[in-house]
Amino acid sequence: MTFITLVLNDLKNRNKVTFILLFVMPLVMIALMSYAMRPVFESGKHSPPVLLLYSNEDKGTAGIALDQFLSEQKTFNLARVNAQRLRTELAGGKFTVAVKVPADFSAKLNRGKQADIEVIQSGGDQQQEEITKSLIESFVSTYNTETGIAHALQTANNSAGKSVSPPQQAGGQNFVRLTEIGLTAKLSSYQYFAASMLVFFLLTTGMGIGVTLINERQEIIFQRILAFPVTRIQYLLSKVASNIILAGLQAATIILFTHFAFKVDWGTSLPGLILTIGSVVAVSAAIGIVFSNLVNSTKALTTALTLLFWFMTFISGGFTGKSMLARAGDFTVNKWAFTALANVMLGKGTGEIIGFLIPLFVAALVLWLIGIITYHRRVAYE
Amino acid sequence: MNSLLIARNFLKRTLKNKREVVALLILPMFVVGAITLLLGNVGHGEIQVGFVNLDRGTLGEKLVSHLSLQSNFALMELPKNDYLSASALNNGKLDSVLVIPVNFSDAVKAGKNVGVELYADRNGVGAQRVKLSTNGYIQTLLRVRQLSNAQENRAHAQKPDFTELLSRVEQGMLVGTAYVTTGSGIKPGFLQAIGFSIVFMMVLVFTSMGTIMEDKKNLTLARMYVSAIREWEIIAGNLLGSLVLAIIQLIPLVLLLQHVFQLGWGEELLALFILLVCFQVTTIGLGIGLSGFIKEFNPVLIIATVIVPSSILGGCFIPETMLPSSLRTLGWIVPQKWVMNGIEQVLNGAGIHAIVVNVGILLMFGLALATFGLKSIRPLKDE
Repeated sequence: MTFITLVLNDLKNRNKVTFILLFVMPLVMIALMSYAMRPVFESGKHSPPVLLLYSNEDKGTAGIALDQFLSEQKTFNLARVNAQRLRTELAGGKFTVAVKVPADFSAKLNRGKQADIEVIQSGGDQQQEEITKSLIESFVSTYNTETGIAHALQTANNSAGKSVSPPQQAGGQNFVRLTEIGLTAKLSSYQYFAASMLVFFLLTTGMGIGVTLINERQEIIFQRILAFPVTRIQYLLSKVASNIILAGLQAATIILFTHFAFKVDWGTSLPGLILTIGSVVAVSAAIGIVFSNLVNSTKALTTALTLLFWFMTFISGGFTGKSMLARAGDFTVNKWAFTALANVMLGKGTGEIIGFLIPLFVAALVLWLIGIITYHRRVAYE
Repeated sequence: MNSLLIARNFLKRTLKNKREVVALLILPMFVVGAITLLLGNVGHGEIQVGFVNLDRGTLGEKLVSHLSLQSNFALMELPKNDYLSASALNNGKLDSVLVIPVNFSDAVKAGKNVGVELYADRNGVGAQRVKLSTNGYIQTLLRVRQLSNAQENRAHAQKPDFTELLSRVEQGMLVGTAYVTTGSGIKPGFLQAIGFSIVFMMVLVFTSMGTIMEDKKNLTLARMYVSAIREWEIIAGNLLGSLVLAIIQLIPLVLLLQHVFQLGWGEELLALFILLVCFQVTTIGLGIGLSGFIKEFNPVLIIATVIVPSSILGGCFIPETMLPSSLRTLGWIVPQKWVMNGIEQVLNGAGIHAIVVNVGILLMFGLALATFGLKSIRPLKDE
């Protein structure tokens, strides 16, 4: 009975605006991020053209062939400039990549020497830069093949430049069938960010627990409560329970709202969803308890936990739509929880996702042990 | 003078013991430093290509050999049975997996049903390069086949040996060869590191701004207002204290960015520092503005309501070229975009004068937001 009273009191003593925002903000974040990142998830359907700065001073056959090749590519939005203005225009930030062909490009090739086309990357968009580099390499490959054929035929009087025929359009004759595999290839942007934001917001449950514990310790509420017939562990568990209830409601809101508003398919395995959500909350709650015992102020706690949760979400790809650092991401709660949720979304059952949840169970167990030990030490000290 | 005292007290209160120093100074530097170092390696790594060569002939081997000579390609042979599950593609260790079919050589020589399979992650940057390199080489093989047929028809003689002809063409390709070289204004991963640092700076500044809200809650602010201190001195004191703390956090970060991405010590570094300091002024102004009407400091809600949406619009998470055009235009209303734009310009060689407008706009953002805070902070109204 005491335990239930403590839980109910903890739920009642919350700021109403904060309480409402707790449910609204994840939905706003999911909507905004999914909309913003939709082009990344629908590459091929909505991929924007590459804004390419192009300077070709070569009037020879190779230069003309490259002109023709680039003008036929639908991938590029081409802006021609002279070599002097190339760097300035690129620095302006409007273009992501530039291609520069020197005046003696064809002449060098015709003399049997090496000649370079320079692809200058602005650093603004790695994907667009790679696409440009790949297409220029494709042109160069075809050009070199024609040169090789000319030499093989030993047409000494027919120079390499004259034998060049412009390469075929990208996609015109394709011999490589590209199949997208991997977990994220099967998810929509709404599914991806609904799952990743669910994990992120569930993690912040721990912050709520930690802040409450520190605040009540600072305001001497803790000592007053211990004057009543309440055990230390009852008090601790009541704080955890009230935050778990909120996390559960938050998760249910996210799942139901995204299902009806954004048509996010959460799969059919309710036990799988509950297990995943439960394991994230268990890890998060333990992290909150451990940190609340390590630091003295809510400011230090929120900074440390914000850094930790943000860092984990960022490197596991929760904010960006792709894992920034694949191997580092393997050591985050987000990666395992997201993988489990994504598999549930793709129709997998509890048995098939249990492998992803085991690292979370182990982490929760270890952190809870540390949390309870440090909590007892801290309480004894207080 | 009063502002200086308030600023000094702000710092003393924020960094009151070792644990606070660790949590507010050392840990952020460590985390941002770690992510900068990790991002510094992005783009420098090789494109990891797994391959399975099932071809009964020799052309599959030739294709593999061609790919292994491409710059930045690292090839790894995968087991022939169950290669997709055996491949590490799903774990992010490979960028793509190429499967050369059993009849590849025969198909090339016959000029029919030529094709290979490429499996790649949707977000893999290297997959397009692997695809186009492979496609280019197959086109070369088919051109050699055409040549072989043409020679046979022209000479009415025996069909020339395909492999020998291919070797001759490949040797010929080494004479008068075109190459692609890459130059880069900004190193890969740099803008991501900056975007990440900007987000963290906001988190840290907002956390330290929690002090004002603490002061409101504990009526310290109300006591300050009744003493002989002007409103602007209180705000300036808090702003100054936050700024000193933010600069302490910023200096090692800028030095680390210089080291990891090998920036020049001159204009580039100075411009980067100026832009980031101005951004911190803006963020502190925003923090003061928010303290005017937020009753309870909750970092998660500030992240969700202010930091993440504005950082998306500002291009801190993904390149702005990937955003829908409406969001790209809307991005100019957030300060992050002006920082990212300024840094991009300077590092692409535009010179320090190019950031004057960006710096001016960032400072105006800061001034406007701090003024709003000054007008909206009412120490007793909310209590």
